[in-house]
Amino acid sequence: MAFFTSASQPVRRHHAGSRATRVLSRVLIYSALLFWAFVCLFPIYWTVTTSFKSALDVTQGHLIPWLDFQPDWKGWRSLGLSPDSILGTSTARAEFVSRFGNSIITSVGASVLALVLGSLAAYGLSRFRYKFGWMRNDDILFFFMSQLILPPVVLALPFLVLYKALSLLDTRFGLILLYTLTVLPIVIWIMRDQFNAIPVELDEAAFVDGLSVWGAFLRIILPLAVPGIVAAFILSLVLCWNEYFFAALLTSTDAKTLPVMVASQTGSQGINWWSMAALSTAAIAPLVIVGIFLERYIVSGLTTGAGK
Amino acid sequence: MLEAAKVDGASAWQSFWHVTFPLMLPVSVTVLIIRIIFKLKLADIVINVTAGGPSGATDTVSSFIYRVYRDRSNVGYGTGLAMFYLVMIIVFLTVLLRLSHRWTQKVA
Repeated sequence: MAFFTSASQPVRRHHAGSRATRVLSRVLIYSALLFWAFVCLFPIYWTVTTSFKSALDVTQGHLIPWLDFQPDWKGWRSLGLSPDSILGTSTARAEFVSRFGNSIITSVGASVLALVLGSLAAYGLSRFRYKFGWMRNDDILFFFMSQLILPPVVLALPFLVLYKALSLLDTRFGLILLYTLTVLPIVIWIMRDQFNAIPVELDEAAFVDGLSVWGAFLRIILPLAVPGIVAAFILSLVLCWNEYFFAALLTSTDAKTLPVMVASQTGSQGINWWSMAALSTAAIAPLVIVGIFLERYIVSGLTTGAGK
Repeated sequence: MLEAAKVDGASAWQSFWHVTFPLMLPVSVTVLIIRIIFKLKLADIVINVTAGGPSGATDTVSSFIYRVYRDRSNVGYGTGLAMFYLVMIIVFLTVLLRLSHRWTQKVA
């Protein structure tokens, strides 16, 4: 937006023909953007409306509430979350709440753990020189990053055996450790770029003023790295929240997370689209809220970086 | 740099194509490679939407190995496939990284 307005402000020295093409190109650009926004947002709209549809409306593909079909709390009632059923007891709601809690505990726990470990590692890689055999800092970073290419299926069986031996199967702690492992490379990467963007002179000034390495890291560098921390936190939160594969494999009753519950909404009469859609909506909601609240930090982080 | 291009008489399209795009290229290539890596791991959507069907037409390697584990409980075969897939990915990505590195060096 800012680009378009600032580009259109300067002196008008164009004759009518070029202004017409300019308006035309603007219209084309906006219609392309609108079209793409529609493509991106339509599945979410579909999910939300499906949670209010009856079985017939789902199969007939009715799309617009009140025009096509009469919205009803069907999906939400099956979860025990509709206005008329929220006061009563509901086993479905109890299950949903416990899965929701599992998802929050595992994803937040893993993100926080990954941020603590990852920012320490990234600070080391950004400020000190390591020699580990033939490996230098960049090689160590590449080694961390190379963990990203491991497909989960390759790790699935070893982890199943390992977790069985350690009796970590079906525990939230086990999931937290595993998710920490999977998001750590990305966190290290983001945080190292963030620390590299902060001048080393600040560290040196802190050392001169008598702070230890830990003091400089905790009091000077970390507060400046908040945009990177927030970006890494959101990214790892999203990745852990959406993780299905390991959750389906390593949990059965106690530590089952939301994606596994969403995927298992198949009853004896086929798939319960409405309750699946209601569950999906409830699963999307927390991330949307987090995104809206933390968006300010992301944007401010981007603009401070761009100003240099 | 964009202002310099403007002074030199470049149109918006030219200044994007000859200035912005080459400068952005390393980042773009990195993003592309990361997306490729992530999609090589794709399993959960396939398992839940089509379960590899009809008759394995929509299987990714990951979802196929998962189904070998779960449906046929053929652990030896599945683990062998997984290890082979890992080696394939490492070789493929090494080649891809080399090529993309050389290409960005040449263009930028």
